[in-house]
Amino acid sequence: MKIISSALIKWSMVTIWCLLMVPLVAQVDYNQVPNPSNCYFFDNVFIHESPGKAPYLGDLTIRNGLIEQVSRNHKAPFDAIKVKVDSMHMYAGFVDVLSHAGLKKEEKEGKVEVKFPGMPPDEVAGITPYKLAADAYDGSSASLEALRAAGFTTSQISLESGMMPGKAAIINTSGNKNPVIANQQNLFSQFKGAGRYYPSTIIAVIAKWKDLYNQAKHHQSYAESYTKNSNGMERPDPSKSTAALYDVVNNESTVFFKASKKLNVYRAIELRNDLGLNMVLTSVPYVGDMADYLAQEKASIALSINTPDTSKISIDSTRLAEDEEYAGMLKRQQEHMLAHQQNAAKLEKANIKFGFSSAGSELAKMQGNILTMIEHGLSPEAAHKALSTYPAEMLGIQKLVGTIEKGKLGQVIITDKPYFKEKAKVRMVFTGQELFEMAGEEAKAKGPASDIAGTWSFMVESPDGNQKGVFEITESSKGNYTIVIVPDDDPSDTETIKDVKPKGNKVSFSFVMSEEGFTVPIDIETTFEDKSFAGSLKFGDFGSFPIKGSLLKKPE
Amino acid sequence: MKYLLISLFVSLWFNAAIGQQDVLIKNGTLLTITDGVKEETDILLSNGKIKSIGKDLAAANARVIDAEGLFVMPGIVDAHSHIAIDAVNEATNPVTAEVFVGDAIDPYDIAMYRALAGGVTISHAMHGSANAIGGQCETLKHRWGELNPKSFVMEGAPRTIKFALGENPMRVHGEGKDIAPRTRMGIEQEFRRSFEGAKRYKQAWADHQSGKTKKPPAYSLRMQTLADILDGKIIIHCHSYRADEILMLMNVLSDFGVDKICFQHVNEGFKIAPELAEFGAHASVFSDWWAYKFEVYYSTAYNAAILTKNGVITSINSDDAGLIRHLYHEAAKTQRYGSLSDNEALRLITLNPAIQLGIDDRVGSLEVNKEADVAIFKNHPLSVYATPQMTIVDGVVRFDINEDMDDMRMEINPEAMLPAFYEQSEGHEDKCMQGVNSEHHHHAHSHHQH
Repeated sequence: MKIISSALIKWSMVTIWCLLMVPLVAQVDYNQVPNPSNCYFFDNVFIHESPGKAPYLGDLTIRNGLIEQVSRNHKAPFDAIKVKVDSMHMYAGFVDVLSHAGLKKEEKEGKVEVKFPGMPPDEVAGITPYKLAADAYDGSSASLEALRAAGFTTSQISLESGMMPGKAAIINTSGNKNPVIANQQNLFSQFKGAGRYYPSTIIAVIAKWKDLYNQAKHHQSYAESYTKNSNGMERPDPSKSTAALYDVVNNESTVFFKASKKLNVYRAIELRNDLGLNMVLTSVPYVGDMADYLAQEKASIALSINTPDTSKISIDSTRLAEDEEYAGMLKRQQEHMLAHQQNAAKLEKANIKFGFSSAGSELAKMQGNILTMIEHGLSPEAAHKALSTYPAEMLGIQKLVGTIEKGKLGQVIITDKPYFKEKAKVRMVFTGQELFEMAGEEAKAKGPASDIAGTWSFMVESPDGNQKGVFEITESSKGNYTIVIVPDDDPSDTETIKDVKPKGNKVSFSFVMSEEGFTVPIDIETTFEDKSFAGSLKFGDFGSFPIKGSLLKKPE
Repeated sequence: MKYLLISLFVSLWFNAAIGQQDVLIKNGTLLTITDGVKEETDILLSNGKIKSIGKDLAAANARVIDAEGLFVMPGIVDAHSHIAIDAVNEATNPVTAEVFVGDAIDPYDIAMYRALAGGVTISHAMHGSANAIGGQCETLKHRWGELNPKSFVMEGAPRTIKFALGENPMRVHGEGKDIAPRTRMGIEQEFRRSFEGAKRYKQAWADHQSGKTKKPPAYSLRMQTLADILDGKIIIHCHSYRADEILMLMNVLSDFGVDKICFQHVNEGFKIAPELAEFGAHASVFSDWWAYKFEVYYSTAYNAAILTKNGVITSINSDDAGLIRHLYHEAAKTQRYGSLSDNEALRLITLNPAIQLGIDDRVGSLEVNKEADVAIFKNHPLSVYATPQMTIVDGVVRFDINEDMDDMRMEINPEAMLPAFYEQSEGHEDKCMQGVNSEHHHHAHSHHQH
C-alpha cells in the first residue's frame, strides 16, 4: 500500500540509521516542513491583556515565538501569516502548576531482587529525585494535546511514581522538540508509599523525607568543607538521591507537593515547616473551611480543577418523605456539595493567591468547572489570575508568561466567547512558535455520525512530496464503514480497513504498513465536512503529516 | 426539622470551642480518685483548667450544669488505642523507630466521638505490633470538632514508642518475609542490635562534634530515635503476652540502662507481678480478653487485680474502637474478679494510664489546677447501669447525650451517599495488625491478633 511512497520508507530507514548513528552524525530534522514565515498576525480580536484589565479590540503580532506588538491597531508585517480570529477573544495562554503530561510511560527496571523489604534500593522505594522530567519528555503524547485543548500553553511536568518521582520541567505544551522554557527544576513529591517495601505508609514516607533531607544537609556542608581543604578529610560519598536534594536544602528548588486529600494539606505544611522547605501544594481539594489556617501559614496553593459532580447525588423522594435520618444526611451532603463548589471563592475571600494544577483533573470539564466556581462566588478576575499570573509567579516565570505583553513569549489562546463569563471553547492555541486550531463547536455538534460513504480523493503532505490517492468508503452496516485506500502510484496495492465508526464528524482509523521488511503503524485522524475532510496522518514515530481530501462522488 | 437542629448545634458547638466559657458543674458526686468521693460538690472549670472544687461555688457568666444525682469523674484515659490515625503499622522492617503515628492523625475518625460518648478524653494512639521496634505513638486529646490534626496533640506529653514481642513480629518478618526475627530469640537480638547501634551512633556524633572526626556520621532518624530511648527521652510501651519474654526485655533494658517501660496486654503479667513491680515497669491490660492466638491462652481476668495488689501501676485499655466506648465496664470487672475497691478500679482507667503516659501531673484525677477533662455519668460509672451524660475536654463540652444527633460526621463526601457507620468505620479488623499485608499472616485471619 502506497499511502506513503516507498521512497519515504527508504528515507525512514535512512533516518533510523541516522538515529542509530546519533553520536557520529549530526541530526537534521527533515520532518519539519519549513514554515514560509515565523511571524503571525492576529487581526481584530478582543484582547484580554491581563486579569482585571478591560478587553479591547486589537491586533497582535508574534514573531519567532515572542510577542512583537500588541495594540489597538497596527499593520500586519509584510511577511506575517494572517490568522483569522475576527471578534473572538484572546488571553495569555493558561499556566498549569503541575501535570504529568508529555512524558514517556515510566518503565520499571526489570524485577529487582529485594532481600530486605525494609531496605530496598531507592528506585524501588520510589526515591528518584535525580530523575529529570525533561529526559522523559515525549512531545507526541496525547496528554499535551489535551492540555492545549483546555487552553494551557505552559505546564510544569513531572514524573509521578513514588514519594519523590523526580525533578520537574517547565515547558510549553506545543509538543515541540525543545519545549523547556525555564531552567528551574523543582522537585515533585507526594505521600506515596512503596507498597510492600519501605516506606510503605504515610508515616514512613514522612520519616524518610526527614531522613533524606538531613542527610543531604550534612553531606552538602561536608562536601563544601572538603572542596575548600580536603587535607585529612575522607571523600564525601553522598548517594545519588541525597546529592539530588542539595538544591532543595538550599531552597533553590521548590517542592511541589501533591496534597489531593484535605488531611495531607495539613501534613505537607507540617513537613514544610519542620524542614523549612519552599513548597507549593498541588492537586489541592476542598480546603474552604481551613482558609484562615492556609492564609496564616502563607501556603502556596494549586487547586485541583475538579469540582464535585452534582449529578452523583441521587435523591430517593419516597425515602426522603419517610426517613428522617436519610433526610438529615441528604441535607448535610447538599451543604457539603455547596461548600465544595465555593472552595475557590473562600480562598479568594481569605486573600490566598492560588493557581490550578491539571494533574488528576478532568480537563474536558475545566471551563465548566471554572464557571461553577464563578457562579459560587469566585470573581472572574481571580479565576483569570489563577490560570495566568499567579501560577506564573509560583513557577518564577512571570517575566515570560501570564499576560499579553510585548517581549513575553507568544503563548496565547483564542476562545469563541469570553472565557470567564460564558460557556466558551478554546478555538486556537499558539505556543512554542506553533499555531494549533481546535475543531469548533459547530463541527463537533453536527449531530449523529456523519455519512462518509462515497469516493474521496486524498493527499498526504509528506517531506517526500505529496502522496495522492482515493478512499473508497462504503457503509457495511448502520454507522459502520469500510475504507479501501487506493494509492495513485500503484492502484493495485490497496489497503482495506474495516469497522470504522465515525464519532460525529470525526473519523479515525489505523493500520500497519509493511514495506521492504519494515512495518510502520499509521494512525489517521480526520474531520469530515460535507464535501471535504482534513486531519493528520501519524507515521509511526517519524512524525505527523497533514492529510486532506474532497468528495469525488457519493454512492449511487 | 432535625437536620436544622444539627446545623445549629454544630455551629453553636464551634462557637463554644472558640470562645472558652467557664463551666460550673453543680451538686454532683465527685469521684476525685486522689481525694476520695465528695458528695453534692461543685467543680468550676475555667480556661481549660479545674479552677476550684467545693460547695456552693459561684461564677459569673459560667455555663451551669446541674449534676444533682450524677457522678462526676476525671475523663477516662485509654493507654492503648489506634483510633484517629491514618497509619498504624509500617510493617516493612523489624525496626522502624523513626516513624511517628502523630504525623498521620485523622481528626475526622468518628471513633473519636464515640470514645467521647464513653467518657474517654485521652487516648494513646499507638503504632501497631508488626515490628519488634515499631513507631512512635501520640497522646491525643479528644477535641472532636477541631479541623487541624495538630489540635488533637496533647502538647507537652512525653514521647512514647511501641515495641512488640512474640508472635506478631515473628510472623510478619520471619514467616512473612523470611528474614529475622523468626523466633523469640531473634526478637531479643533486634533490641540488642538496635540499642548497640544507637550507642555507637551517639558516640560517632559526639566524636564528630568534639572535632575528633571530621566527617559527620550518616544521619539516621531511626538511630537518633533509638538513642533518645537510651537517653530516657521516650517511654517504651511494649506489646507482650508471655512472662519469659517480658523478663527477657527487662534484662535487655537493664543492660542498656533503660527504665521507662509500660508493658501492654501483659496477659501473663500475673506470673511475674513482683518482678515487674521491682523493675518499676507498668502494665496496661485487658480486663478479660484472650485466647485469640496461641501465646494468649494462659490468661486470667484476675490479672489487673493481681498486678495492682503487687504494686504494679496498672491500667485497663481498649486497643479497639468498640471497647473504648465502655472502659468503665471493663474496669468494673476487676471488682467481680479480684474485688478491687471503687477507687482502685477507677484508677485503672484514669490516674494509672495517665502515669503510664507521663501525664499524671496534668490529668487523671479531679484536682484544682489539673486540666479540665471531666466525664459526667448517670449512675455510678462502675455500675452496669452507668450511662455517660457529658464529656468535657479542656473545659469544652465535646459530648452531650442531649445533643447527640444521628449524624455527627465532620467530613462528608459530597458525591457519595453512605450511612455514617459504613463511611467512617474502617472495617473491623484488628487494629494492632492494621496495614499489615494479609500475606504476612495467612494464619486464620479471623482470629484476633493483638
